[in-house]
This record gives sequence, C-alpha cells and structure tokens, in this order.
Amino acid sequence: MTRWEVIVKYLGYVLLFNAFFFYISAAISFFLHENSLTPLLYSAVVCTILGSFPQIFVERIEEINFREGLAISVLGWILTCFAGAVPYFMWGGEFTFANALFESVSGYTTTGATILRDVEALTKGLLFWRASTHFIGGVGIILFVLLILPSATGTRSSIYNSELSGLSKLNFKMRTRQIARVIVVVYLSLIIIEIALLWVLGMNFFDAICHAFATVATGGFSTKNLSVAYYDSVWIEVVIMTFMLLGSIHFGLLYGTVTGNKMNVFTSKSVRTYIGLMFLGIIVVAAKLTNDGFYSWWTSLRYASFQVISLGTTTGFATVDTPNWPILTIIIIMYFTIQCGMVGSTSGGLKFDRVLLFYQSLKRQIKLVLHPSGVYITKLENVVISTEMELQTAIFFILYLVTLFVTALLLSSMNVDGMTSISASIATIGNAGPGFGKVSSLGNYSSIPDAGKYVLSINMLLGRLEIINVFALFTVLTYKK
Amino acid sequence: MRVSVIAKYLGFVLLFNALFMYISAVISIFLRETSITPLLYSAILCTIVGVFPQIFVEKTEELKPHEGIAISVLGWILTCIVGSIPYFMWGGEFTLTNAIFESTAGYTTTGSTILTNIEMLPKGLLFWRSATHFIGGMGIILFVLLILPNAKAARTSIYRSEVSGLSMLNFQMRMREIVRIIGIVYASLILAETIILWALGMTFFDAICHSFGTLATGGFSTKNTSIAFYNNIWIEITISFFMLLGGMHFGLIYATITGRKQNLFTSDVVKTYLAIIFIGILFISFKLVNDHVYNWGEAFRHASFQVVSLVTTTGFATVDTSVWPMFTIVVLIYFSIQCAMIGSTTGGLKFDRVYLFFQTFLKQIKQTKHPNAVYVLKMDKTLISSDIELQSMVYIIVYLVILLISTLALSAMDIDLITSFSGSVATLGTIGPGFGKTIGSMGNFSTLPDAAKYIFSTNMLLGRLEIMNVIVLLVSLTDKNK
Repeated sequence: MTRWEVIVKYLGYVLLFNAFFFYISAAISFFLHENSLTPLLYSAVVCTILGSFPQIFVERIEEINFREGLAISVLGWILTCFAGAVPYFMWGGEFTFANALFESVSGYTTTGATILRDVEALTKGLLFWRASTHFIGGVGIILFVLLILPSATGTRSSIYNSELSGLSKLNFKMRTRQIARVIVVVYLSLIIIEIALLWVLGMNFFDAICHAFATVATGGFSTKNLSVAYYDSVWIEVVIMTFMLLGSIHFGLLYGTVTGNKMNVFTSKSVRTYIGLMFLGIIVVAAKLTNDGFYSWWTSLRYASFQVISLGTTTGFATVDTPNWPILTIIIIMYFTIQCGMVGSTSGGLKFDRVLLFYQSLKRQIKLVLHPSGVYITKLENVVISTEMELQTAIFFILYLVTLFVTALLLSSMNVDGMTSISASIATIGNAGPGFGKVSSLGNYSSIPDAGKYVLSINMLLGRLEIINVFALFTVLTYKK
Repeated sequence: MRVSVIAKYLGFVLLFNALFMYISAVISIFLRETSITPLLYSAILCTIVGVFPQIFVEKTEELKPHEGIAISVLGWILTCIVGSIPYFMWGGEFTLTNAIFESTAGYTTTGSTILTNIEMLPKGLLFWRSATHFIGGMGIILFVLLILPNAKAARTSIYRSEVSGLSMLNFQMRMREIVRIIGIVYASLILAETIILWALGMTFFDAICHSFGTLATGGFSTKNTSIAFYNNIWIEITISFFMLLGGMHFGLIYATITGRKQNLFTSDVVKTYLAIIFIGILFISFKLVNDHVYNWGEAFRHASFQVVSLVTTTGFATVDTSVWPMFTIVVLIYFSIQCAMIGSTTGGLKFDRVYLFFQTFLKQIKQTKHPNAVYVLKMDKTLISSDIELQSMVYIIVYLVILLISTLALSAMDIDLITSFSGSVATLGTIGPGFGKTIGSMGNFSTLPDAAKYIFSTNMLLGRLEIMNVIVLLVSLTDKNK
C-alpha cells in the first residue's frame, strides 16, 4: 500500500529546500537590480506555498516503507527538475520551454550540458541559481532532505536505500544516519576549501563559488562562455582538476583518510586502479596529441589531463575545444565518459566500481572455462562479492548499454549525425555534459531538435537515478496485492 | 599447449574443406567454367597441407580445455582464410579484402555480400559459396568430430567450446549421441527443403544452394534480388518455415519427431520465442498498412518474411526494407540483436540469453521489493544456477560493448550511424543485411572502405565463436601457469 499523503509531504520538503536557494538567487538579483528578480522571486514564493501545504496538513510519520521511499526519490527528482525550470522559462532569452527544462535537468543531475550559446548574457542571479542546482543535485536532494528532517530514523534508511546502490554501502560500514552526516561534512568542506583556493588564485568571489559548486558536484556549468579556458591559468586548472578528482572518489574513503581510518584512499585498491587508469589515459592522449603535431608536449599534457579528468569524473569543464582531436583520443575519452567516477561520490552514470566488478566477473568466467570444476570467488577491496551482487551489477550494465543504444538511434532518426548522437547519449546518461561532434567541449546542445532535448533530459535523469530504480518504481506502482 | 595436436586437428579441417572444393571444381569442369583452376588449385593445396599433420602426428586420445578452444578458434580463422583463395584467384569483384569478407560471411553463416552482381559468378563458385554456409552451419568442428573415428574425450572438450553451457540443458544425452543427432537433423532438413523447393519450380542447383543458405541460417542467394527473384509465395512460405526450424534447438526438433516428453510443443522458451516473433510481425504489418506502403496481404507477407529472415539470422530478402518507416526498422533491429535459439545453427546473442536476462531482471525487481525472499529461476522446468545467469549476463555485456566499439570505429570513418550501427548488429549477429541506403536488404557491402570490411569480418567471427572463446584463447595463450 502506498500512502500518497506521505509522499506529498516529503515532496513538499524538496520544494521548500529549492525555495531556499531561490530566495538567495533572488536576493543577488535584487541587490544588482537585475531583470531576473521577478522570475526568481515568483518561483521562490510558488515553491514555498506548495511546499508548506503538506507540512501543515499531513501529520508527522515515523515510518515509510520501501515503495514510498522509492516513489519519493524518483518523483522528487522529476518534480525538482520541473520546479527548477520555472525561473529560466519566465526569464526568457534563449530559454524556450524545452531549453529551460533541459538546462534544469542538466543542472540537478550534475550533468552540465547546456543549451546556452551565450552563458555570459545571463544575469548574476540566474547564474547563481544555475550553479545552485548543481549544489543541490550533487549529493542528491533527498540526502539533504534527510538531514533537515528532525524526526525520522526509520524513514531515513528506506529512502537512502534507493539513493545509494548496494555497492556503495560496502565501504561505509557505518550506520545510515552517520553516513548522511559524513557525506555532507565532506561535501561542504571540499566546496569551502575550493572556493578559498580559487579566490586566492584570482577568480572573483562569485565565480569562485559557482565553479566550486560545479566542481565538487561534478557538474560542469561555468559562468563563462569559454568555461575554464577563460582564465587560462595553469594553477586554476590544477586546483579544479584536484577537486574534480576528489568529487569523484568515494566520500566515505575521503572521510576515512582525513580521520586516519584504516580504510582510506591510499589503502583502497579500487582508488589506485581508478587513478592509475586515468593516468594511463592521460599519457596516451597526450602522446597522441604531441605525435600528431597538435600541441607541444607540455601543452598536450595540460589539455589531455584536464579533458580526461573532466570527463572521467563526469564534470565536463573544458579548457580546449576537442571535436578536431584525433579519433584515438576521442575513443579513449569516450571510454572514460562511459566508465564515470566511483560509487559513493557525486558522479552519476555507470560508475567505475561496476566496470571493475564486471572485469572481475569476466576473469572468473574465463577461469571457469579453463578449469570447469574449479571454485572461484570475486573480491573487491577484500570483500567477497556474492553472485547475486555480481548479477545485479551485470543487469545494470546491460540496461545502461541498451538505453545508450536506444537514445543514440532515436537521435540519429532526428537527423543528428552519428558522432553527435552517440557521444551525446554517452555524455548525458553518464551525467558528464559535453560529448564530441556538434556537442563538443566548448560547444552546446542548442542545435539538437526539441524532441532530442527531451530524450536527452530523460537520459540524464536515468543516469542519475541509476535506471533500475525507475524500473522498480514502475513495477512496484503497478503491482496489485 | 601441444602445438602438434592442434596442427593435426586443423589438418582435418583443411581436408574437409578440400572435399567441398573438389565438388565445386567438378561442377566447373562439367560446365567448362573459368573457375576450374582457382577451385582445383585451392583443393589440392588444402589436401597437401592438411595431410601432412595426419601422417606425422600421432593419434591423441585426450585434449585439454584450452587446446579444444585453440582448435576451435584457430580452425575458424584458418578456414575463413583458406575459403577466400578461390574467390581471390578468380578475380572479378574480388580484391583480397572482398574475398576474405565473402569467405568469412559464408563460413560464419552471415550472408553479407560485397558482390554487386552475384549472377556473374560461375556455377562452380556459386556452389562453393553455398558450401561455405553448409560447412559453417554446424560448425566445421562438429563435422570434424563426426568423421573422427575414436576420440571420445577429445570430442567432449572441443564440443564444450562450440556449444555453450546453456544449450546442453535440453539435450541431457551423451556427447556422441548429440553430435549424431545434430548431423541427422541438419542433413534431413536440408534434404527435405531441397526436394520441396525443386518441386515448387526452382532449378535443382538453386534449390540445393538455397537450402544450404536456409538451414545454415546463412543467406547467400544465387540471385541478385535474393528470394524476390522468384516472386512465389509458396517458395517464401517454404523458406520461412525452414528458416524457423533452422533457428530452433536441434535437440528439441529431434525429440519432437521421436515423440519425447520434452519437445517443441511443451517448451516455454519456444512458445515465447514464437509469440514474440508473431507480435513483431503484427506490429510491422500494421505500421506498413497504416503508412500505405502495402495493402494488408502484401504487408503481412513481406513483414513475416523479413522478421523470420532476420530473427533466425538468415538474411534472405523479398523486398527492399531500407525505405520502410523508422518504427519498423527499430523493431527489425531488435530482432537482429535478439537472434534465434541456442543449439541451432544461428550465431549472435541468442534468444535464450535475452529470455534469461528478462527473467533475471524480474527477479531482481522482486528481490528489491522483498529483500529477504529467495527466488529461483527456471527455464523449461530446469533450475538455472546463479552462475549460469551471471555467465549469460557477462556475455550480453561483452556483446553490447563490442557492438558499441565497432559502431564507434565505423562512424569515425564517416559512415552514417544507421549503416554503422545496423551493419555492426548484422555482422555480430551473423545475420547479413543491415539497414540504410548501402547495406539494406537488397544492397551490399561493396562500397564500404576496406578497414570497415575487416572490422565487419572480425565481428562475424566473434559472433560465430561466441566471443568468450576468443577471449579465453587469448588469456590461455598469455597465461604462463599452464
């Protein structure tokens, strides 16, 4: 049985939380006398009113069941994406309805794909709102809602189940309440440190905040048309690269490292493999770029490392335009876009741990063929992975790839060229942002037809919600018993 | 790994090929065609190279698993290269790349062609082309097993790599018997179809070539316009019927004829398979009628032939599907990915795996709902262990990843997405024709760049060899612990 009033109550919290950031953005617009004041304030008031109603009329509930948790999580994301599109659409400019929705979904899912040809034409208030959607989306609005909910310990764990997949709980080994606290502490401190560093390195305070939101949330919205290339500063790039990497590593491990826990970033085999693989990718891309006479060694290394890390962590900032890069480098970068960051971080998409686990399963299968009566087990970080867990991961992997093919086909049937269709599908479902072809690193999604934008918006949501949750919700809601 | 043993078995493969080259050469001799020299030369070459290891290597009773896999993988690669010799020597449209592509398409029972004018080929070469389907259909290795007199253990370990774990579920018989059954079913179906097609007005030669193409689920025709040349609804029905049979588990067909309890009519998998095909046909006919492409009768006729032809990975055509509406193309591409059943002559992903995927997926969702419940998976009343589930899922992933890589590589050569994607699907699934202007059901692969043809050839081999075997071979070759 599903209690709709409970779901509505929680969705109300989500709206109120959004309203809070609407008010901040509106305040910025108010002080700078910008024309985005009305749209932002209007959205803020609407969200407040709609969000307050269920708080007043629905009683406090101590316990929610699995179905309700799932519904809150999935519907919460969808609702928030619609609410976030309101100020864009009301403000107008390049924002048609499809564009506004796309931009909003891209923000909350921390994808960072934009339809704006001229980002700098936006008012400061809207730019801040755009960056806030990354901030909100970064750790999942639901996790935030959990934190500000005073009462519910039982509630917390059942929403939590659908937000973080089984795999990510392996490393934590803590209680759910503590996990939520750890995530937020790590998240906020990373953002504050990055803001300080960027500010010191010469960004103005406003840009530093916006870029920090986008970096640690692994989003990728910049306040400049040229993205990070605008600053043309190696040190800013180094800082952003470091924080993109940190944003894509399991937050529990980061916490473990700082508090001196035995299980930390340096002892974790997956982290080492993750960083090692990325390092290898950077070297190959840089070598290819130098070899083909694109840039000098030093410049190649600089661009290659930024691009690989930016897409590998699903952020999507850019320091250079990539569409004319050699095909080998494009394929390598695309691999990293499919692989994505680690489970338990702010990155979306397939996630590195799943790729690693798949590789382990494959190895076990091969051993079994060669020694049919042998018994082998799969391990990840010294934890034995059950066959059920392996299966769950494999199913997710398959659904992911199938969705990828379906979107690429849909886009190409709208007369979008092949490279753009495939790379846009990969980049949106992985919540990375830019792809190749027309939607390359310094390009944008404005040339995609409206229908294509809706398809890609759905992709971003599926990537963020881990696909299987969406399927599970549909099955659960239609299940009669 | 004992290289001499592998060489001995590869020798058998060559000798078996030589036999069909001699038959083709004989046809050319009687008809005084230009293809006598190429065919005879290849035949003699194969005989000499193949006989050597038989003389110098001693008989072996026992094969290790990785030797079995090496024989299987290398056997296919060798045979594809050998089979291209007559094409290349004869010339015409056959450059080296084209010849290898055509040969691989034949042995892997894909049926993609690079020929713009098939009817120009002499009868001898046409027969050789169909013979490669016949040989490939059952897996040349299975054939070799049949003519090997006394290697019981050897048989088991080669067999393991040719037929995957899932397909053994239904058989539940001894290996020797399995091989015999596959041979009997295959040969009798071909015989039956040849007679029916002959009776329906095909020439005897065409009837044989088309039967080879049908039961091996290959798709090489002797005519430029494939089955559309005959424009005969009875011929189409016959071919559809035999394509469907060629896509069924041969053990089940045998069981049905011999009156066993576990047969085609009691199997849930078969029922689901047929039901999905039927629904697909209805969808496509409806869309075709709705878009005024054909009237109801025509729509049903063409839709059913196309669906059956693609789902069974055959690839015969009665109509040019590249002009059909997008929706129908998407449905057809789904069937091209799904492929037919395990234990048949088809390649690619195979329906049983797709079926198992859906079962596992449903189980996962049920499990999320009731985390402590224990669910079991059954296929045709046989319990499926989690290990087999995992094996199939890993296979599906590897399949899709290869599809993605090959699509990307082709789009990088400035080939449009529908061609590169459908081409990859069609070659990896060993189907044949794809969609789009160039490689559609009435088109061919001749205009593609050479690099693309090599990628497609690799795809076909991977699809036929079940990918996993190739990976296992590569691993066992580099693994020092053996």
